[in-house]
Amino acid sequence: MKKIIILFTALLPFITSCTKDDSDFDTLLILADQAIKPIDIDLDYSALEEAPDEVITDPDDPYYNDYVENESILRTVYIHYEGETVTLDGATNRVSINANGTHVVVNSSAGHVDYVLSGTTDNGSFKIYSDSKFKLTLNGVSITNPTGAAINDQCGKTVYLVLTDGTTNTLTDGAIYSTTSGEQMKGAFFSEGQVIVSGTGTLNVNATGGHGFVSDDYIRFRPGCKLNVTSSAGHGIKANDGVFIDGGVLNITITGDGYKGIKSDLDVDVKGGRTTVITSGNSRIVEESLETLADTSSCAGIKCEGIMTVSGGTLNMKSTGEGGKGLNTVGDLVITGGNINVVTTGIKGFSSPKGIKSDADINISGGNTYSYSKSSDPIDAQGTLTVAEGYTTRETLSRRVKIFY
Amino acid sequence: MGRREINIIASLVLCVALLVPMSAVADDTGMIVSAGAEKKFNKKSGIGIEAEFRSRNDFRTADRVSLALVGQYKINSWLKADAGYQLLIDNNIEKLSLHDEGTFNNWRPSYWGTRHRVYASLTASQKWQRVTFSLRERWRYTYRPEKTTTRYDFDDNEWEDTQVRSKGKHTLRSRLKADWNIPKSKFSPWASIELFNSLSFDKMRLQLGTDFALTKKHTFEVFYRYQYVNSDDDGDENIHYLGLGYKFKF
Repeated sequence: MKKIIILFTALLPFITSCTKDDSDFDTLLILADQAIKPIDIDLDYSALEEAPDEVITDPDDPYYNDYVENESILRTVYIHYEGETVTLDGATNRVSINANGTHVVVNSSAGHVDYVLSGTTDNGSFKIYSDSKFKLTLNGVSITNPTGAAINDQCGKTVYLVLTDGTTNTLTDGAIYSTTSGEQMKGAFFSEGQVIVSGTGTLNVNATGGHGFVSDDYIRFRPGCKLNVTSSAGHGIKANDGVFIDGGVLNITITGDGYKGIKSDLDVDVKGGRTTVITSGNSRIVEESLETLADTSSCAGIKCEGIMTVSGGTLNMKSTGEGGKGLNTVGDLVITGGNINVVTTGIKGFSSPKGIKSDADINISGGNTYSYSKSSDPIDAQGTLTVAEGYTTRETLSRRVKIFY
Repeated sequence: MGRREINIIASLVLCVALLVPMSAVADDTGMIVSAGAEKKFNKKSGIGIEAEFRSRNDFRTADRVSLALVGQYKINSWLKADAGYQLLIDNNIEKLSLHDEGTFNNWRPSYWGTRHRVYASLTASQKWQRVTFSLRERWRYTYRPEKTTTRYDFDDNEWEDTQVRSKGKHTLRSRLKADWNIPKSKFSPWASIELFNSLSFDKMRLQLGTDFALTKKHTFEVFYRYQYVNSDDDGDENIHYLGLGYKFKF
């Protein structure tokens, strides 16, 4: 009996010491999610009060030709889609229109022409070859092209895309493009030339096979326009030579891996409007071979390969996928005004989900900048981050930054 | 057990009962259980071995186990020296690191790790009536080898390996102890205060206990220890210990 008591006494401390004192892991996960809440960012289709657009009237101004008000429209061609048929009206000299079913091809050597599209087709398109800049009015049109772009502008000159007041227009591409040799067709709306979007109507772009709204030159959005883009297989808005947001309400939803809400191979200039981008895709490998290492591309609200300037308007960016960023610029990012709200909630993977990132400098001297990154830097300048004096709020945390003027 | 022994034990329990509430309520409690053996070669020298177990978290969690080897040498009637090696196997407490705004960065659960320790001491003693006062100065060096363990990264939402770097630490321990020799009693009460210093004041131990010599070969020990931590990077916290020990003398 004495031995049993001694043995029990000896073992008692060990028996009573077999419990871990670690925190409950599930509770930690819940607390981690509750620790800091970013602001809510969601698509916003509400009306936006905007100051009237200031039309440049100086013919020597390099952007004088960006204003349809400065263009004399001498001819109007009406193209109305109705199921399997197309109705044409206003045909004129030097404008040839061929319709294969509801796939319309325009060949024009005439200038000062306004092409007005209306009606609905589930298997149609509008393609134009023009020697001159032209006006393209969307007057309540819905085009779905199962084999490519809904609108394909092969003219390398300016297209004035005017959204008629009170109309809703929808362009939808197909999952697989049937291309013509020697031609490009990069998205549901594709233009070889500059695209100037104006008017106060609404344009919905649904991209499933390519990008959404594309120009191989630059794109300008003027106050009043409303553009909603959803893209699962490409960028929302893509331009080779710059994106200028003077105004308008842009709502862009990106679900594909590695794609951007707005992608510009040159500068981005934001002066007004309200642009909201939500991306949910993860990073993706874009290049891999025996000779080269794999490179990755992550989602971003806006990816600017040049210099990005924000002097007005509102940018709301949210990326939820792995490595998804808010603003990502190769050149400088210059913020002198406007409201920038960025939230990234993705995890680190191939890429870091930074809120605002520049490979060069970031200069902030105005506006209100808010950036939150759940898993990475809210703001990161590979060069120098400069915040000018005069701010009313400056909060720099490891996961959140607020700089308000 | 005579009345005097009962009085000694009652006094000890009373002192412990008074000491515990003096410390912060939030302090931890644990147990120390040890067993050792000692062999004297002659009147001056001997060797010993001791195994020890500690618990924390109000006795619920194993904190560490250790095994020590020690050699002793009595230089003269009032001064003795000893030196030893100790193998420590620690249950390192969890660590939750935060970002500067308070959000979670990563969480490393508790893990078991090994440390090696060597030490050398000089103890000077002076008898006054029935109380022997002793001052022990002990240098020790503890080395923690590098260890790979896991942690959860809240930013990446995944578990990842993490390296706990190797580390060496020198510590000077200074202990003042009073042993009370009660005539014709098997009990030998004692009390001590000990300070730990590395580059700064690390911690302090207050102890109160008694030895109980069942026979010449078998000695038991019961004690209370309060450990106050000032600045310690080993993960120690303020804690109350109840200690039980046994020693066999060859």
